[in-house]
Amino acid sequence: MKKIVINLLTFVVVIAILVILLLSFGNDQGSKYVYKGNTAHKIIKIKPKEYQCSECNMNIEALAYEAQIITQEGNTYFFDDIGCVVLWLKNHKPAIAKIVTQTLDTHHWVDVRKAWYTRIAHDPMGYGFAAYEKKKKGLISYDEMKLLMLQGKNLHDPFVKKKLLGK
Amino acid sequence: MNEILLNNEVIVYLLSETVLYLLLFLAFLVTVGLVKKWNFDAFTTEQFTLENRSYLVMTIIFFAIVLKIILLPYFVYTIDTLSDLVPGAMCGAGVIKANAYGNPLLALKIAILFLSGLWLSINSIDLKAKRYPYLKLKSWFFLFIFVLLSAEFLLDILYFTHIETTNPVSCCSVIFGQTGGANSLPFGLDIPKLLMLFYLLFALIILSLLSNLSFVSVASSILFVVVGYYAVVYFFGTYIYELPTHKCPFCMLQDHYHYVGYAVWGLLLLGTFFAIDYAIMNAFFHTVSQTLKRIAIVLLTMFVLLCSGYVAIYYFKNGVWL
Repeated sequence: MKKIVINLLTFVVVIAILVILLLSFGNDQGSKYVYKGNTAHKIIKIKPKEYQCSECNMNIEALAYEAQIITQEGNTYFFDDIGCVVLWLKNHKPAIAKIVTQTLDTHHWVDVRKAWYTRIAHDPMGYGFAAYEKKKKGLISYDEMKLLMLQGKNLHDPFVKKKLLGK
Repeated sequence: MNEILLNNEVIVYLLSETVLYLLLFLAFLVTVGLVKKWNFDAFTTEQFTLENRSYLVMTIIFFAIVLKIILLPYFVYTIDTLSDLVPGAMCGAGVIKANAYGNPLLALKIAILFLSGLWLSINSIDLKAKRYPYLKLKSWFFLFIFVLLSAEFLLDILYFTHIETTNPVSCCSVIFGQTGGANSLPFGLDIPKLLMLFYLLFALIILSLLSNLSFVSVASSILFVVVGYYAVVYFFGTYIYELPTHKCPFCMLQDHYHYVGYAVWGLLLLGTFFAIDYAIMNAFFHTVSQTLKRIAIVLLTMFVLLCSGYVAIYYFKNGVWL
């Protein structure tokens, strides 16, 4: 009798665990990182906090700094900061169709390689990098920005910060 | 010279690891010979020598493995003391992430702890039998563990020689803290579901141990380690620190929290290990050890009571939840 009760309880607990796991897997409250099926390689319009950055996991809230990587197979990855794009590309090598970023001056989507970058922006991650569509004095190219980011020569480095901002 | 390598705890740790690795390397060489030539039915001088040698080598392995198990909490303590030297680190969380070798090393150490414990159990039943029935099995198993031990020793060296004291690292509030609202829990869980899963899995381990359902015990124990880790870091830990935003698995190892982290993680790892050990011994070796079962149940119950106790005490003292 005791054995039957224990086995019955075990069965009930297993079912309860499976139900919780299934409910969680199907739950929309979890993190959202990738928009799939974008085979037309269009830029995906998102709402603040709708997606998380694939590199740093933060909610993408300040859409003025948003960037997207769209792969050939139609996966769109969202980033809250151009610095995160550089770091993510260091560890991931998908077949890329497009890498675009929002620009601070024109608020357009621009190919990251064609944009120009400031080193002293108030970007979400505090690296200081943000894109501009039109070239101005003091702005640097994508390749230079990428190199500085990978070397850690951004506003996270106190020496760089002091040099650029004087504090 | 890297000043990390001049730290007392690191010197003691690396020296102990080196001596133990050399002992295990000697045991490895002898074990290879044992596996090749062992034949219990042969009445030859060579077989007699092998039997004597096997007893010696198994004693060496037993001694080294027990010390390796004791060295795991000492490794965590060493990491914690290094937080004074590494800029930006407030506890072991920053130090372990100071380079790419830290997390794999810690994961490998825990895996080795579980496998070594299993080896000790197989060794124990083998020594009790008259004909060494599991000698070949435990020798092959040791050879496999030795490969992992070699990787661990290499990672140990690489990890401690690559900790920079000039590069700032992230503190635990950055690593485990609020990531802007993103869900850091596994399987898309939220806190209420995580807690339900935590208590249900605990109940399932106890029930499966009582009804000798070995497969269910092993599966639920493995899942309980994962769920228990997240439950402690993202829920119970906040009651240990009495701060809803402080989420860290390492700070609780410090003296401000009465070193309770050693009890929390120790009970979780040892409890699940004994549950898995009992289930495997029962399923594959048909040895039903009531002692192992009781130890597993007691340790896991203590773990759950300890975690839940912090929440209950906080609520009784303050009248609110965090």
